[in-house]
Amino acid sequence: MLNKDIIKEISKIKGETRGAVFRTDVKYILDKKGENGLNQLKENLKDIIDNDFYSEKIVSTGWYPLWWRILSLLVIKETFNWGEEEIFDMGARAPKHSFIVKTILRYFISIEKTFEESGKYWEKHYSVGKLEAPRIDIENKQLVLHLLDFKAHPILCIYFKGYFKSITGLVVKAEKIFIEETKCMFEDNPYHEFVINWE
Amino acid sequence: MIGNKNKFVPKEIEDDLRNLERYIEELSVFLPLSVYTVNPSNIIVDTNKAAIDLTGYDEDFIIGKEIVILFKDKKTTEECINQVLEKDLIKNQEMVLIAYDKKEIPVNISISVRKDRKNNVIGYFWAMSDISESKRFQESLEKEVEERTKELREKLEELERFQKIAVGRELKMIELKKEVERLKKS
Repeated sequence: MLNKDIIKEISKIKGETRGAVFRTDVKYILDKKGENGLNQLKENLKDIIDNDFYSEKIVSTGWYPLWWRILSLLVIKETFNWGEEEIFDMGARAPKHSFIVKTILRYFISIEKTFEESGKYWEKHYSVGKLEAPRIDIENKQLVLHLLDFKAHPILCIYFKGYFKSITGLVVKAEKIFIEETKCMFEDNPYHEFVINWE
Repeated sequence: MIGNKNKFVPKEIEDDLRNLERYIEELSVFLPLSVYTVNPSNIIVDTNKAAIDLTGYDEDFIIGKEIVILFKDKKTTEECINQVLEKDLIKNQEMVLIAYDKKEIPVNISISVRKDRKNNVIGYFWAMSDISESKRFQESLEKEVEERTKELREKLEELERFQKIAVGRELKMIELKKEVERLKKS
């Protein structure tokens, strides 16, 4: 349950993210819960914070506190009593609706290009952290991603799993794509590691 | 007040970006032509409202799928893809789209190559328009022409038959007159 102490702790998280994340949240909520769901979410958010993340004034290309992004996911999770599955799905759908992703479609021309440039791609979305692809093995249909210097909140680990899976689907022709977080900074690892396989 | 002040971008540029984003979104929603953005692996990476309305496939479903799944004739689709690589542009190719509800829709396709500043291919735009109405109109015109042609042919045959009879009769009359003359003389 979100309370003032939790929110106070979250507000200490440094870094910024693009407004596009809130726009994709809105799209997801509208699809799943309709206008009533979005209004319910906004009401709950109003009880917690003075800012409306889901307002039309939020600009996709603008920069907003990273902790807002985390709070958005937590409020959504609590409002609709959602679990990991839904947060994963939110992450998976986000690239399909993100204005930022549309501005960088030139990267999505091949798996090599997409993930070799993953550092640049990450910088367009987040002001903290670093994304690397230490392994791109087309023959064995495996990709490994490392997210460094990004210890924000565990909810983002779930969200990013969905997100990276979806990004992979934009450049790989595959019947199925699997993703696993094999290392996590919240489990005392030096970075987050995501292993993606496909068939 | 919403949002921190943008630390990275001057306000003017932030306003310009906001306006540009709004412009692109409004244009995408307004554009009556269905458009897909496809990457060099022929995977759909973006779509617009008109395409969603035409095909019934929403963004969540279609983004990440290969463009070939939209069309009935996979071979022709692949041929178009090969052609556009050579020519950079294909216009007015007729194909049959398979919509989400399995309905077959005749469409007119145009494909254009997208390139980066170094002239490398980074994908394609596929634009399509529904030509069902014009196809139906064309078919009804062809049917009408066929029916009229058939009607004319039948009338012509009737006239020919009548002419045969009339001419035959005329010749018979001439023969009879000659016979009468001959009989009168004898």
